[in-house]
Amino acid sequence: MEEGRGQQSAGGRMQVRELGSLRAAGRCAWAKWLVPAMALPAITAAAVRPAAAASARLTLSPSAVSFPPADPDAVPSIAGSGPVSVQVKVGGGPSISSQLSCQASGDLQSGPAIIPISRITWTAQGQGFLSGTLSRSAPQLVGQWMGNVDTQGQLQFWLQNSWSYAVGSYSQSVLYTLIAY
Amino acid sequence: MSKRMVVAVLVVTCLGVLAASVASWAATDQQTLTINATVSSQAKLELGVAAISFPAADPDGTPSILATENPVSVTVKARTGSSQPVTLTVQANGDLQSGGNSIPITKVTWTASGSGFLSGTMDTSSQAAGSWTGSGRRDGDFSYSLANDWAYQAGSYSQTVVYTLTAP
Repeated sequence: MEEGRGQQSAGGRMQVRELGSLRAAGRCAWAKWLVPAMALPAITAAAVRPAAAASARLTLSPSAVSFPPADPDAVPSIAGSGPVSVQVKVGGGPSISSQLSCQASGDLQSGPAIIPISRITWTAQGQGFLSGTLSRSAPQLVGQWMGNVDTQGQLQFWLQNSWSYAVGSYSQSVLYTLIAY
Repeated sequence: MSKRMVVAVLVVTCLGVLAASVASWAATDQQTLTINATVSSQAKLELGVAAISFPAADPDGTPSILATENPVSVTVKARTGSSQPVTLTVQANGDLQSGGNSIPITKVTWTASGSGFLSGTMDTSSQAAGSWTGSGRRDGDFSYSLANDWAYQAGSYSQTVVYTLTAP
């Protein structure tokens, strides 16, 4: 094998002269250069994988929240049943990052009538947990942590009341996603 | 293929291997929360004043007497089905009365402002004063007038009228 970039002669010197001839030789130069490149040490996934894979576990209790009927003049913001207890467990070491997000599948629906899902907000308690507003168009951040996590928070939901809501029984589902990486 | 392209191919390959390895050790978990909300029927009517009065006036100079309290604000709040009618009506309990003397209640009229609010003439039968569809809050005004007349007997006349808001 001819010596080139990335290899050393028996005397320890890098042979760079060969690259000069590569530029002048056209197609043959490509073949000459490729051989030394393939001789480089292979970089595999095993060389950059962390010591332990991450684990994640999410629990919500209860799994449903209800808003009772209320006079908009007397109760401008209706408290949902609950609060919802959220338990987050993440393993994998101190370099693990984890995030909890939520996204609604749509607006609150009762037949053809809707209430925008953005009328629902939540206040959060617990380390790493964040307050926010429900959305159907984008995930909303609910919490974030670093390292191993074993924590519990509480989410209290609020529905903005209005005279414009049509009579009905509304519902919608919200997907909570915990990811650790 | 140039040297740059070969390098690019190698780099992309390595990154692809790295991405695959990242995905293989990330972890996720998901849970679903169900949201329920109940909205019930409700209706609320608010009048700016509880009484109006028409001052004494020369029929020649003031053929139509305006109520002192004009305009009177009216607020209609209703929750109903999205296609259900919401109606406001008014009905007088009788003519304007002063002892044995009376002035026909039909001498009192009103003009309305605000979307869905209706003008009309007082009567002992129910009269439409507003009409809407579906839930919502509506704000308007009523301005009252009494047709003046030399035929009225002197006296202090009064009567009550009842406004009724209906939302099924």
